[in-house]
Amino acid sequence: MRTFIARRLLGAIPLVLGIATIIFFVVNLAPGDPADRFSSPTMSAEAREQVRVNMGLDQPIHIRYVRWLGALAQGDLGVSFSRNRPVVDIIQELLPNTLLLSFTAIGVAFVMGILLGILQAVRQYSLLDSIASIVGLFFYSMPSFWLALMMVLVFSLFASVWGWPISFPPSDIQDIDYAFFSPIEKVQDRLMHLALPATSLALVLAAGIARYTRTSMLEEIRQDFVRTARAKGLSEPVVIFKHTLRNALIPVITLVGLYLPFLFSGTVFIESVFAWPGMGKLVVDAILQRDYPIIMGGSLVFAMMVVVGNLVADVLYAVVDPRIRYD
Amino acid sequence: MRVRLTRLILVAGLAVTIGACGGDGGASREAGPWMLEASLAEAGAAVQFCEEVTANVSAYMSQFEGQMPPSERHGGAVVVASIGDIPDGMNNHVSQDYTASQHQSFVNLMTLVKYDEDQNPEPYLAESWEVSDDASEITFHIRDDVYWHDGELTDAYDVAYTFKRAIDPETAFPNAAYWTHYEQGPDGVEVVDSFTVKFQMRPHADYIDPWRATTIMPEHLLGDVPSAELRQHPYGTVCPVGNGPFIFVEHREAASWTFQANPAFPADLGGRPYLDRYVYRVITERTTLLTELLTGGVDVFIRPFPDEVQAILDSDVVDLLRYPFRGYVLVGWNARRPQLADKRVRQALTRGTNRQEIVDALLQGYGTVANGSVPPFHWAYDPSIGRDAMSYDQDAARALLAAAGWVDRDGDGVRENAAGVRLAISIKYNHGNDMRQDIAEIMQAQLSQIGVEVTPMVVEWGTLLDQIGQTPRDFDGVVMGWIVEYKLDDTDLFHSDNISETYAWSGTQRPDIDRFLEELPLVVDREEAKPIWSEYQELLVDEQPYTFFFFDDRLDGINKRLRGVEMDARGEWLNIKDWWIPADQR
Amino acid sequence: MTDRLGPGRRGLALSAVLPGLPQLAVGRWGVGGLGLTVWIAFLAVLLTRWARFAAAWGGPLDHQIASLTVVAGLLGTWGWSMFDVSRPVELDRSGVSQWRLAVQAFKKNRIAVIGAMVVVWVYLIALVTPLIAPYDPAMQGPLPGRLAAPSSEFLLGTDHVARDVFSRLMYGARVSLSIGFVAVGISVTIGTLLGAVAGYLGGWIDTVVMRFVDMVISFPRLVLLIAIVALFDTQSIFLIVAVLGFTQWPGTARIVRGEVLSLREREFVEATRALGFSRRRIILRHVIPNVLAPVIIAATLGIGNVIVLEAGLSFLGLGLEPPTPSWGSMVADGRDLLLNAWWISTFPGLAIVLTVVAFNLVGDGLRDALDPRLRA
Repeated sequence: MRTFIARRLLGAIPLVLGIATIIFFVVNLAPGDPADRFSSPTMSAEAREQVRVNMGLDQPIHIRYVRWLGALAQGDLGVSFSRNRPVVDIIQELLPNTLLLSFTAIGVAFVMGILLGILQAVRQYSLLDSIASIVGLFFYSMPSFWLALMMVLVFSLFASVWGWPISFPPSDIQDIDYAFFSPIEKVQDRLMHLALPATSLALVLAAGIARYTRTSMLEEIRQDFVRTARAKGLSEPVVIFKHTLRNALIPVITLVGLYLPFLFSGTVFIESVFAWPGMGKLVVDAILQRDYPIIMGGSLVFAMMVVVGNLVADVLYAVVDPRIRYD
Repeated sequence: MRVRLTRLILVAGLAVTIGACGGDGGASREAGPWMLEASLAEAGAAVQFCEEVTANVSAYMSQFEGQMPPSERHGGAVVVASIGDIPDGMNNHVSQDYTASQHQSFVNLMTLVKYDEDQNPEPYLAESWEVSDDASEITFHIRDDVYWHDGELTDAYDVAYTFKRAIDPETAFPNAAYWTHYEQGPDGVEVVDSFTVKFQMRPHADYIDPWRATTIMPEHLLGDVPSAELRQHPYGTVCPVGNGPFIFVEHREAASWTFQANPAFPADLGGRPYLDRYVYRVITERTTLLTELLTGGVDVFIRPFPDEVQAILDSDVVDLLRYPFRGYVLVGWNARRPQLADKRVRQALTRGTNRQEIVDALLQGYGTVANGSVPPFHWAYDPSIGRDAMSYDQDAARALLAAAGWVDRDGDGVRENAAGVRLAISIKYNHGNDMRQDIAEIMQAQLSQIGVEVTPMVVEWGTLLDQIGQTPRDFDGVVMGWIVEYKLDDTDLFHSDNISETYAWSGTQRPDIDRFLEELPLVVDREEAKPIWSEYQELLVDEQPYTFFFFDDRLDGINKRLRGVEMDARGEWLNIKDWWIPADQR
Repeated sequence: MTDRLGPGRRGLALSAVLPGLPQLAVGRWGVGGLGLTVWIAFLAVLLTRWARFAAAWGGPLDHQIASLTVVAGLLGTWGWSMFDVSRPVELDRSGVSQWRLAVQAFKKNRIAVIGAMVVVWVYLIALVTPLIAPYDPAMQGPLPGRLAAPSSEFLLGTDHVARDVFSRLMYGARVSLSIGFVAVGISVTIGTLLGAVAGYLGGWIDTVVMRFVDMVISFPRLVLLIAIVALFDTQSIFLIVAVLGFTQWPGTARIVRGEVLSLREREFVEATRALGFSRRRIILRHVIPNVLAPVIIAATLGIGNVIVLEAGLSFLGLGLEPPTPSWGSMVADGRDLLLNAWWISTFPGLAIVLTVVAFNLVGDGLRDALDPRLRA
């Protein structure tokens, strides 16, 4: 197992490098000049050229590539065109927000989804099963930004205007008075701000997870060993949770690996709607603004996180299913 | 590099405020001393810069600890939000973003002069000024009681420094055109004494305008920075230091900017602002922004769309502010194209489009049809120009097209000329802008009725700028917008000398227009200039390099608890230092 | 209790006039309901839109297809119903094939059948749209009529340039459905093949394929999509479909590979190896059919996923060029107007949800029916 992990990590380096190169060339070969966005209509041609020089865009592409790789090796991701700060600083500020959102959403989604899936499997074809399937599908089928907008309107606007007991803040990660809050108030504030975005993200995921768990549980429940367990007189919860679940979770765990890239890029829509200052929104805004350093830096960071995440998923997979051999 | 939090302790001198004393113990943010945090980068010269700067600001401001606030109006925090960020921060040398310049001019920094409602200059940082009789020399006398937020005095050296940076080509100052008629050689600026500075210039109109638009920058902090590094210097976005009514406190990337009242602001100019704190938030999703406004999370929504205004009008919590502005929307025509070369065709395209209906429908009436580049509130505006000549009249349009030789010869509904070229054009617009898309599509529908085939095309912004700005000028028509400066100058757009420059989209080449463009800036007296402006505008109507669409009014949603807000064409943040909130609504 | 009306004059007569009714009468509401509703609806279309129908034959291709669909639908429904009614009643159910059992299990699953009906209906509507859409989807009405609420004149209201939302919704169905179908077709094919090969053969092939999968998965899909749209500077439907399809297959490949890895150790596969079958035969005829269940789930989830992703692209401003309607771009267009013109976004949004739900119900039903291990 250890050699496996070591080999995978080693293999990840050329992988990430390859991704980095592809990103660099795709982005830099796109038509259009990023300097245009940062020049004003009243500037002379010389001034605009000066802007390009200041941004380092006057060099030919292979020189820029080599420079970029060199800087990369030293942990320098360049300076953002649009925000005029080192990309590393920007990412350091925004990444924790995205991670907070993603992991909260994953956690909630997996717990909700697995429990629901188990329930559905145990009561296959019942009314509960049907309703749960349809409701779950309903959420799963919604474009996430649409769900997010609905949540803003219902749980923030209407809740406030119609005087419901609780209404959630629709944007940002914290109140403007956050700095003055006591530690408990700070946690509360974060949770309030996390509520809508994380729920939007989680609902979409949970439905998919529930379906998968249901299928998987159904397969396992029909296995002979389950009948044996029941025949032995074990109580139903023990049968389900201790014996069936472990096998059933195997394909569900692959979902973690499958959902990871979706999670990071899926946060794009949620972050946009809820004005959540995070990586997803950063990278997409950068693309639309042609802010090359952020596009490249941000994509690279995403890719690295996904690679690590997949590795973790594979390890989990092997741990859970003793039939899997990684030799 | 790691990000580390550093405490910036500022004491706002609000030990006790009448009636607002905190029974809520530790979290009394409207009374008593309070702490703010600024985030800085660590390691390296940039960080060192910010650490020193912050320490200095902190030390200077602590002397105002414990001062009693002058009146009951003092207190509270206001939140302004819009969909755009402030990309270059407070660095006036490089920024060209409207929101940035508003924050620089009215919030964090100061300009030498401000405009009153009639666009006449009034003193701000400059106490007074004199112009020589032949208008070749201008001398400014700077106030001696304005301090940078780190304790240094603002003086004439800062003004001279700002000017030199602006005219230095290596800075790539976005509005270098301001200074074309100023003497840019080594003798151009002279620092007479600590508070007096003299500039040489060639006589021209609106010579004060550049000083309304350019904020004075701190020479003691930025003087030694090489030009190429200015843009990315942390001063702009990480630790700005100003001398204006509000002190910079914190910038959360992609989220918010926080400022705090400056207790040292000169009493002559109004003294310390009423508000304790001002927060600018960035929310890109319009529905969310509207929700924040309607639920009280945000006090001011900058520029809602006309279609969104109904919810604001219906709300009990918010008011709508509306005022004319200096931005106009146009469709620029590439007169180099065979279909568009004849000015009668361009006139026909304008007359074939019902612009008033568009204003009524798309802008919900919040706008004025435009026939030239002069905004309706401007002193040079003449409402009669083009009103009849370019009125909506499809029959007249058809007649113009026919006279220019465009007739539908093959019965397909689209006109051709004698050589068989079809009157088929594309109108390009950048995506992300619904208004421009709508205009292109509406023109498509309306112009088809006079035998012109229009194809709307969406193009990515950067690519579009290339297509219209560089040869071979790959476009027929383009929907665009301009925000005009008070110092109107269309030279870049229509003068034939600039015909291969970026902004000569139309390729206008008319000696009579050239003459006007050259003479107008030199006429100093407004009364004299006005009829000349009218003549120039008539020429533009005749030439129709653009179909001028409309000057749209500015709209803002403002929470009713906010008092004293004045906004007009000078900007939304115009008098932010005079905004206040009644004590019971903070 | 027989399960069909049996050959007899009453059944035939009924079937000739209202195909589907005899089937309904004996409780086969799925096929019966579908047949009857198609018959009645298409007949109505034919009668009320005769002019358009007749003109369609000389018109553009999609008009011809629409008319063809009406004709085929009418003939097909009538013919099937007559055939079905005149077949002898089944006596014996022994010796029925796996597939027959699966179909019967599927038919027992009510919501799956409903889902199937919805899917068929959506596709039929999409095909017949040119005949039934009340307005041209690209035609703008007079400007004062923009943002009009749903009314008898404009069933689902008008959008911000006074176009009929209802017509755009129907035309948008064609676009969204096609994108979904083709993209998923590409991705499932590639994914299944590669996943099965990698999982079964193992070794260096597995490593290579999975490295490749890792790379494509790790690649921020959105970035690639957006960058390519920008690079080619067009928003062509082919490009979008291609990129969507070619970035979706790793998911299927992983699932298939996972299943195959488990399957590989099972007894029946060992048996085929013992019998000396070639690897190709084992993979194609024994392994893949047994991983079809997760592939089907993947495919149905996939279609929905692609439709939703296309909506996301439109949200970022990279959907199809206007005035081409797609459900995604309609939702995106209306999102700033949710408070004062909710119909622009809401109806396409509902359409997306409904269609995707229907696909997924079908997928679930098929899976339940096909997997012998899951049947009660």
